[in-house]
Amino acid sequence: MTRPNIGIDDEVREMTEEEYEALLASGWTEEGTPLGGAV
Amino acid sequence: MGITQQIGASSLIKAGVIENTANRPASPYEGQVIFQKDTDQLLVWNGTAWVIPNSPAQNPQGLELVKTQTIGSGVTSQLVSNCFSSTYDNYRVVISDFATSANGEYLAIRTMIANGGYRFGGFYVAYTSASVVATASNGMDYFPIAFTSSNTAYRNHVSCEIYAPYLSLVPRFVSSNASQAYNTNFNGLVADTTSTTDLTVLVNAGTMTGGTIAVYGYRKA
Repeated sequence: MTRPNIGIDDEVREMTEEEYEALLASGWTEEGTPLGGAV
Repeated sequence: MGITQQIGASSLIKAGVIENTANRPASPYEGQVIFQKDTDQLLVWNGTAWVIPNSPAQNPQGLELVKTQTIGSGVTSQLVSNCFSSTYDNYRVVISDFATSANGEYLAIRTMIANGGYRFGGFYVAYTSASVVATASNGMDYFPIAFTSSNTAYRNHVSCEIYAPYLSLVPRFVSSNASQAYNTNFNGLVADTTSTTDLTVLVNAGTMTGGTIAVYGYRKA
């Protein structure tokens, strides 16, 4: 699976495996669970 | 030749207008103003140097642009390094015209590492309802400033006040924004007195693409 990118000033790169694991541990999800009511 | 033809662009005498740096007055008086044609600069002699009169140093403004940063493509977070310093105590961050892949999720900022010390409280109101929804948290890894808008016609435009991120004090955050579906008002802090120079903008779901993060500093004097 392709990991998402991270922006560090003008550099954009794919997250490392460690960064991606930390991101998932923080509760980040790819799709999210929107509150609803979107226009 | 009428006098009106001699005082306009065809005037033979153009006081204060010079071609280039080599033509600047050799012995200017303090307050003398010139216009240098090769650089299109209006300059004033401050007693020791020729300076641009409308530069922040010569004509201080209240809010000064510190740094801009383009948001990368498909990023979950975007770092803006070295935007906080001793020059300013308080800042305004304006994040303009960027897309988010998820809708109704947190768009957030972080001035320090994810340390569980971010606290926020506030409320939001859906445009389709007059009900106020209160929300709060005492142990987050970021400070939410708005909800994301995934509708490409709406894009995202948000701002946040940040107080004392560089000082060894507890920083405060104040934000009031409008997403495509909600009005949000979130205020809070990060319970950490570590001085920081960097800002991170992030989303708690999906990714961000494009747009600009602009960091402004409130001039102290």
